[in-house]
Amino acid sequence: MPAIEIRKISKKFKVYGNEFYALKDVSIDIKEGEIFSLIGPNGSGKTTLINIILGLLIPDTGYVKILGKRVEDESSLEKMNFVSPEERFHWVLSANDTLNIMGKIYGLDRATRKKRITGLVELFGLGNVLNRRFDGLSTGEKMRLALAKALLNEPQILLLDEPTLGLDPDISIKIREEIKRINKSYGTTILLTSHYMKEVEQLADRVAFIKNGKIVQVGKTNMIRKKGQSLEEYFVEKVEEG
Amino acid sequence: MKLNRILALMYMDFLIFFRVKWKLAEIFFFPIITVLIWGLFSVFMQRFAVEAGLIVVIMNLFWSFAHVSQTSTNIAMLEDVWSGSFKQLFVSGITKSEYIIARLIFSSFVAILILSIISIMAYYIFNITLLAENFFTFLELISITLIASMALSVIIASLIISWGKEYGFLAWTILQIFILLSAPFYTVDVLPQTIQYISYVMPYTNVFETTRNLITTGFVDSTVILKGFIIAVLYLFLSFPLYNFAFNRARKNGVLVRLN
Ligand SMILES: Nc1ncnc2c1ncn2[C@@H]1O[C@H](COP(=O)(O)OP(=O)(O)OP(=O)(O)O)[C@@H](O)[C@H]1O
Ligand SMILES: [Mg+2]
Repeated sequence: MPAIEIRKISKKFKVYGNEFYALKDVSIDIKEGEIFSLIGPNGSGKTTLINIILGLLIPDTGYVKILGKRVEDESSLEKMNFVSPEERFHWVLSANDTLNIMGKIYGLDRATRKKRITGLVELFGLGNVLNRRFDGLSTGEKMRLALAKALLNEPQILLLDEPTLGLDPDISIKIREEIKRINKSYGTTILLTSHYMKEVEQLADRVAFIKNGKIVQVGKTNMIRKKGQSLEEYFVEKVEEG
Repeated sequence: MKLNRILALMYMDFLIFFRVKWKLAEIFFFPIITVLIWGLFSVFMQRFAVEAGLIVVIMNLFWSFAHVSQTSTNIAMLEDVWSGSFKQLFVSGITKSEYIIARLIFSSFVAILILSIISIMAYYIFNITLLAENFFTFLELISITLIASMALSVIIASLIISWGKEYGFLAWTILQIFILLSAPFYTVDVLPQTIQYISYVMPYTNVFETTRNLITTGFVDSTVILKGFIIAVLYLFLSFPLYNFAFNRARKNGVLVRLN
């Protein structure tokens, strides 16, 4: 059973009378325990696909199953978590409040919540910003908080939409190491989108290239590109192709 | 439906309530100023017609109560949209019903708190004893107002979810139309004939009518109260399917994602 089964997903949007396909007949199986990366140019449909997996968007055709359960079943969200730079928390809440609220939402009892939050705060170096308001955090601190939140419910599946966008190289490196570690130690399945090809090369077991809402190619990160070709060169070649 | 999620959302609203300063102003300042202005007006009116002054103060109590209870729910949702945490909450497993129910409960607490404050003010400062003397009727009317305001906030939430965040202004505008049509300071027959039909099915009409009758004649017609209950409960029953419908449609056409 795949961790995420994406079958024949199509999605059209209509904005000011114009209709267009954001996704067209997309099918992917993401295996349990793998790091799978979705790459493709801006506007190719990566975030849209993630929104469908999260149940925030209903596709026109096709379905998504999470560990065998349709996403319409709201309990499938309990096994997942999600990070993206667009995600925010209320501006007056401190990092500590946010983690506590989310912990309560996930149904963690007081002791578990405290233990996990302490561990994650240490892991992501959030100790000295714990009592700062969300709108006072830097981009990197916000992202680290988002990552801490995402691990709070110990998800089996983690969706990361451009997790290192706009971060310093040193923080990005730490976050990549962390992604790798989580995947290795807990067998967490990870779906990653990124515009940094080095990141994808380093992390992903498999890659899918998406363009204009269609999956152009899927394969092992080392196999889809030609010999000696970097993933960046592969990306440019695919974008320029017909 | 899971209790822990509802409580978690209420805890979040509770923390936010004390930190967003304009909330305190919105919720305490306006109702208190309203009672002071119209309370003074009622003192002045005693020289002419005691009833007119009373009607204005008591109607404003109900109005403030309805306003706080309805806007708190809708503004909590809008703040999730403005702050960008809307999506965050929904991917955490919170269902659409849990989301709105938590807000309805929290807003009711806040509205009841402010109503108690302004009623006590009206009693001690302006010697308005009518509500205390008819306490049970007052409770009935407050329950109807609360149910109706909850229903309105669910309806307004549905409209914002259907049409997108630029319709957020509905949160603090629609109620005025409902109050206008529910005939607060005048009887329904003052309104044009066709509008009267609309007025009869407005959720607050029967509350206002009972209050006016109580002030002017001292008489309470229990059938009017019952009618008020039935209409308010009907609104609430109809508001939830509308909310579900709006939510599912927004999930299909992408408005839900664009709300963030
Ligand atoms: N809710 C929505 N309503 C209307 N159009 C949308 C919506 N969401 C996405 N789109 C459109 O669908 C297309 C795919 O967008 P999407 O955000 O999935 O791209 P992406 O691959 O994530 O791009 P990027 O790399 O820039 O993040 C774009 O043309 C976008 O404008
Ligand atoms: Mg994107």
